Amino acid sequence: MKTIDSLYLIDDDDIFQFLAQRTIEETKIVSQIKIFSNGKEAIDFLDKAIANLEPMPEVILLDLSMPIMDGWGFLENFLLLKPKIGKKIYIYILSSSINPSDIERAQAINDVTDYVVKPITKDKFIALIKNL
Amino acid sequence: MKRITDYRKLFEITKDTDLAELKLIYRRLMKEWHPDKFADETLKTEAEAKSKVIIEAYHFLVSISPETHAASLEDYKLTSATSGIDDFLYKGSTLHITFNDGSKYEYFGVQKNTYNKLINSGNLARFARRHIFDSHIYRNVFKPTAVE
Repeated sequence: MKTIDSLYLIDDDDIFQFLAQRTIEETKIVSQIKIFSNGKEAIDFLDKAIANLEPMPEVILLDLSMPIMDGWGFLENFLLLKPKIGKKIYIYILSSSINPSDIERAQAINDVTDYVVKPITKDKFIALIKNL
Repeated sequence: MKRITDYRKLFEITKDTDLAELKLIYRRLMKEWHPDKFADETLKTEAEAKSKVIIEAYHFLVSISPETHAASLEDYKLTSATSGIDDFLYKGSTLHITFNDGSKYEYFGVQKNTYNKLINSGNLARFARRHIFDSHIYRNVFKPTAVE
């Protein structure tokens, strides 16, 4: 089984954050999980990490609806940073499907690997990593 | 409106419940129904379906809460007062409106005869400003992305 050194979870729902983090930790596939509450926090962090030549995450789990900078804003900004990132980052959209058009829109973006319908369970997460 | 009623029933709340309490109930329900708590496959599947509904309901209820509306009131006022209507769709008693500025909103509990008056009004935006925008439960479903 492939293991992941670093994963970013970007979601403003702290209850989901907590449960998802625990679920992912229990799978023992991921060494380090970093949590951000909106797109801007994550972009700022990535930007700094690139400048300092720090390791990039392998997987990003991204919620769409967030305050300050939402998932779409994150994707737009990520695209600008992408040329400076030397490796492939798998981005999964976290969906709660109250806006079905979001899924269509997300699938049309090349940098989005796929989407995951919340809640995250151990089985779902393991299946996702197996598919990488 | 049925959707709102169903979600409120699931959370056992009323329209006056504040965000803090909604969040407490959400936390309790999510713990109660986390699929990984169940070993039995059937129960696990059921819990997963239930969790999905709880998450949807929570985000939906947050999106129509007074706190959410207060936080984006200026945007909403500007859009509803100055932007024209680009497109609209009426389904059940929900009216979906796409504004010229690209933002999309849903209005709940819009009566059939109000809708009929809207389409016959000659000036959609003016009619909606008078009879829909300020008098129905609404939520934002799409914001044009603002990149800094």
